[in-house]
Amino acid sequence: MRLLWPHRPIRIETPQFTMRTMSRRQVARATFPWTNDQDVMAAINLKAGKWLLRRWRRRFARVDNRRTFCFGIWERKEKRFIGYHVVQLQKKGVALIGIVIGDKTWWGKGAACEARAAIIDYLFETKGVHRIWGTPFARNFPSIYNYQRLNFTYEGVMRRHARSDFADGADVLIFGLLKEEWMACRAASAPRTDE
Amino acid sequence: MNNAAMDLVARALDRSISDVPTNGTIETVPGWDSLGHVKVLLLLEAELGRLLMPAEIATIRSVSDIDRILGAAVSR
Repeated sequence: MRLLWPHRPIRIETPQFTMRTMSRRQVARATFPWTNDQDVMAAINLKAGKWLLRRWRRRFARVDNRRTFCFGIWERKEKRFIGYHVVQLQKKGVALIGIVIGDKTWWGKGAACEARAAIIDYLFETKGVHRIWGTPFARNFPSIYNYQRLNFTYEGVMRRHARSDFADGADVLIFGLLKEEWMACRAASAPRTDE
Repeated sequence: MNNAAMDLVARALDRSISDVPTNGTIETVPGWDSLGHVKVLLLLEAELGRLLMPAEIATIRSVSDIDRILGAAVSR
């Protein structure tokens, strides 16, 4: 049991969602059905339908709930699992983040923004983080939109940097957010999280 | 500003052009959510006849951004 939960689980609530940390086994099992969904897999530049659970689980090998956390996202009404948010605490004060919403009924409804805003609050307020960054695929337009809506700054592109099942590497963009920028944005007017 | 950018956003989001002000942004234009954003960018690529560059994709968040890209295409 200690291996699965090296630290106390973290729980974060938003108006529509409950997020809590998962073990790598839990997240692999919960997300495995999505490996057959072309739309979900295309968003992360992977082909659908060729995965074994054992191989899929390797994608979450770094999840240790010490430096790399995987927050499962459950919608609160029906307690249905809809996605996950990864947080990797890197060098002092810097966190890399990423999100997958696998339940397509939640696409275009602001789930990613709502969940991410709560994760950002958590990281800046309780984990001593001063910079958060993310690296969406350049062709993942919804993901880019979500970074823009939360006032991340575009910082550059890494050409053909990421693994892709469809080409020899995929371009990824760099979006960054500093704590003072987030606090100023929160103070001025909270970013809308309804899209 | 040329009306082409407003018209493009309105067509992509299936709205009237009166719903799309010249200073419209992803925060203010009705229907410009994450899925609407996909429609806007794909229609822009169709109009340009090419894929958008990563730096262009990353910086489109308003009608004026689209106007800038359309304007640059015309002046080439």
